[in-house]
Amino acid sequence: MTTTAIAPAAGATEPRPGRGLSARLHGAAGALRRSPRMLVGLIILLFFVLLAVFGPLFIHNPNALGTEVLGRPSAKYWLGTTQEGQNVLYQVIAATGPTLEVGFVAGGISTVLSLLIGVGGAFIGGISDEALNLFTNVILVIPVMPLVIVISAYVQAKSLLPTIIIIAFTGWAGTARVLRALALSMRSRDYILAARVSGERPWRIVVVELLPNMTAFIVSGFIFTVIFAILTQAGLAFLGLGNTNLLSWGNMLYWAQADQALTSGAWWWFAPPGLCIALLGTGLSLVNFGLDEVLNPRLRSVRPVGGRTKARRQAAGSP
Amino acid sequence: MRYFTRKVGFYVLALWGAVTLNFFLPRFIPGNPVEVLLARMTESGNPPPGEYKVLSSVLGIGGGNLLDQYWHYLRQLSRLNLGVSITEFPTPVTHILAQTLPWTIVLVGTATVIAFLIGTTLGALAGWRRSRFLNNLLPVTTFLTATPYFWLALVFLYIFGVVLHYLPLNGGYDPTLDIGWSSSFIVSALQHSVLPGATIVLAQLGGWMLSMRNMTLTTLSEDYVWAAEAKGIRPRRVLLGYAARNAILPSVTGFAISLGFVVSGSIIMEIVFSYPGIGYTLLQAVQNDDYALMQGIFLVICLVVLGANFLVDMLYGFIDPRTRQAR
Amino acid sequence: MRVQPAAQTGAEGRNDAVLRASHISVEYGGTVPTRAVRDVSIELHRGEMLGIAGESGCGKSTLAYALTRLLRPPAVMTEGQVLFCGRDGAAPIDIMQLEPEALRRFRWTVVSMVFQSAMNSLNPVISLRRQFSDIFEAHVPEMDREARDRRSRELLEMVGIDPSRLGGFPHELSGGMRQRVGIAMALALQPEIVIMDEPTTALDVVVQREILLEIARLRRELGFSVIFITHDLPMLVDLSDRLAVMYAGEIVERAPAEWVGGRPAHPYTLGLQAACPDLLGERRALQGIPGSPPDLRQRLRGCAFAPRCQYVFGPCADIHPVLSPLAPPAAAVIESVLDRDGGKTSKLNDWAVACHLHDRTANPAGPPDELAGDPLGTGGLVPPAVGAGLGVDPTGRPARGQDQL
Repeated sequence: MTTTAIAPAAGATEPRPGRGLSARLHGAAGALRRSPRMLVGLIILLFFVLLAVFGPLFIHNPNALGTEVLGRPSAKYWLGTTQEGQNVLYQVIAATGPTLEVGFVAGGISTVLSLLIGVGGAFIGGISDEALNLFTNVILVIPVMPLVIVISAYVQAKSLLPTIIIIAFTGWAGTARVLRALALSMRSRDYILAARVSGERPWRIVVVELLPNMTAFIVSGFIFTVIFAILTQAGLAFLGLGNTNLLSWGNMLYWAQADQALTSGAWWWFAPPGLCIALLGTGLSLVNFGLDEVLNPRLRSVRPVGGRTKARRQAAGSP
Repeated sequence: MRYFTRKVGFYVLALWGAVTLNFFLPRFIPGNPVEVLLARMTESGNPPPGEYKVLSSVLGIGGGNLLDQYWHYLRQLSRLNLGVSITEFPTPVTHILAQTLPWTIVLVGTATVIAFLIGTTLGALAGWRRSRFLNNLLPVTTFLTATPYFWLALVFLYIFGVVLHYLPLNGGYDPTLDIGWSSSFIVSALQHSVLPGATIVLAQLGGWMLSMRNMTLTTLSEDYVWAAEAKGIRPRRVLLGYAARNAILPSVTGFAISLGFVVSGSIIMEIVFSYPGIGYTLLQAVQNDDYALMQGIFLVICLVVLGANFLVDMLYGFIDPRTRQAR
Repeated sequence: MRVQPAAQTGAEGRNDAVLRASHISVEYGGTVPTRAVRDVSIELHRGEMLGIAGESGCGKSTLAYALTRLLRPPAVMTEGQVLFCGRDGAAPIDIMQLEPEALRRFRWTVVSMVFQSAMNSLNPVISLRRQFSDIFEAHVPEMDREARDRRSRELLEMVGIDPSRLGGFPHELSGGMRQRVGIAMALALQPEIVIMDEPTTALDVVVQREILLEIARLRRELGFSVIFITHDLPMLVDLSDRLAVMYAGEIVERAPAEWVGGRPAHPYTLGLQAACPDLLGERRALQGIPGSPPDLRQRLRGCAFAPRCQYVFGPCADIHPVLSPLAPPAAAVIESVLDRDGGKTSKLNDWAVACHLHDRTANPAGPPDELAGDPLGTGGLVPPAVGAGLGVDPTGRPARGQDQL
């Protein structure tokens, strides 16, 4: 074409290949500036991570029995005490670590699985991709919780590990589907094609060209699975599945329920662990919304040129 | 037509997947579960004759090789024979399922439809007018979405049941009444369903609202919405027939995933309210090591969720004409 | 081949403005606002086709949308007035002052549009019948279902589509058919003005030609005015009555189409002409314009086109050229020629250009031959004697005709 066809690339948010680390960091800072939600989310997340790491240094044995039973919040017991006189605040703090551990480890394993199945399938293509995709979709419509409950009931776990593994192996499907769709669309982008034509090794293309440009989506999928894992673990623990003596927010709720905290009006016992779960989940969700806003500029409060950009219209032209 | 056959094929396959998964699950049980079960049954009375065979078929661990076991398992399933429950010995599992499933389906189904309608409407309005109020509501709904259903249930129960005494504390109906279509029973059932229903609605409202808001924002910058405005079509019609009509499509597609979450949350929530549904029964089965009942519950939940998703997919075929065309 | 312009509505139609826009400025908000349209005035005559040409991003579409208040955030019209003059001599309507409901009723009944991407501008999930009905329901509520259906069928037939397609959906149509549906919708309420925003750009060449012929035929039959936007200058020359060439948010040349086709007066127009293949005309070598349009967030000094202009000289860098009628003797030459031609002289004032080359004080030597603005394409062969002493006043303005703008 002639030079007259050069369109100003308004609102281009396509991931670009080959950006340096500093450019990425710069992009991240920009994203934070553009999305206050993400900032709030990260602050909440940071708070809980710090609590998990340094909290235990400041507390005594959270399981130590005390004489004050079902004590209201007071100067001595900031969040009151349990039926056995245990310090609720200590328990909440001590439970932060295990909860985060379940979330992040299960989320991590699960994300790796979605990468292998989603991106792997998309990149191999052909019949194995079709099969993996079908498998993903089937797993996606099978209700996870009853499955996890039944397996947990059978396995009768003594530590957190079985729970983590069960959650990781049931929670990958959603992310795998998103990543597959993304990988399929990127596979036909020019720079990937160029890399293929120039004879780069497939794994190299995936690692060097594909994955870096999918980072935001991978992170988003990871966060989603972390939320899923934390909620699922809380549910399982609340049911008394797994070792009820391990400290986690879910287990605190289990004991609160089992010891009739509700009918004895001990709101300080069951309120804090649930609030922590909800708050952590909110923080993680906010980070994800922030990512969404960065990936989809139309969601930002000030909209760019309302869809009247040349590039988009031509890209979406008749087939 | 191709769309429908493809979907039917997919759900048949998914059903087969669930049934097969169910077949393999008991292999996680340490020891011989059939003997464990029979031993427990003899404690409570005499197990029906032939129960050993039924149980081992249902749990898929009878004699013969894997294929034989699988075959026996399928045969028992096709006869709707899922064994007897220990929890309510010697009631057949299918009987328990038939008793408890309607409670869950009515409660969760109604609450989900209500949450979808309210959330989607609010989301469309939040995106359409960029209303400050509705958008400020988003962090609240986000918080509610991140909240475990069962904890929300605990809080509600505490506030409305324990502190305020507004609503009944637990159960699905007043146990002094007979189950039936009498008005007093229905009123009682409705009263008992208010808190569990509100929990489900509130917990998923945010999700629907957020996705609809985002899709509405995205759709609003589509050319056809803008073109509709250029045509001088009334704003109401532009919102309903052009923006929302298109924005809702991904929400309907996403229904499958959400339904899984809703069911997951709801079955645990039932326990808080001792609601006589399938979730509460599942807990009892878990506590009693009632493997046959657990298997049956898992299977029937799969069946219902798959069925609901199938219905939604069919609905999608009607609201998006593009799916009806052969690819 | 040449498409016959349909605007032969006779003498009364000639100078009868149907839309008069003055001093339109549009900005796209942002930390540094982009001034996409800069103080543009334009007039659309009844029954004519006005072409607006320019590169992507020159502000031509933005201008067109500003005329019907269809700008979407962050685009804001910061200045300007748009008057619509009805047929029956009623008081002109100030479009910028219309209340929302009045504006809604004004849209499509008076000014309708044909969009570039028919696929994207048609609602993908509701039937064509419903989309036609929506238009009628919004503007002619007294029409009943049957009447709406009948009219929709008529419209489809008019643009050459089988009326049985009415129950179908956009995705079932080919690109060309979709654009025909788009045109049928634009004509549904028999508007006075149709704005066509690159209606053929997304189509292949053969279909493009069919659609253009269709538009010309419909215009002949129905007599609506058209603002036709495209980057394809040769197409506009063939198609429209008058055209305006935009660059960096401003009109740099405005002239009767056939004259520009003969020989444009602005270097940018010349470049545009060389850059597009002439779909309906003869073949020739294509040439791009070097460089790219300026950043519209910046304050522009001097002539915006200067950095890309091969004729750049003294004042271009500092002095902003204003759109003014073509200076003599070119104008005089035209006039003399047209006097003999008879009757068409009033068009003369329409040839305006924003370029220092045509400013006799800045450039006494006059523009180079290829930019001399020779309507007959005689390449300066008109003897000087013909131009001398004709009715040109000392300010350089032609004596006859009223100032347009």
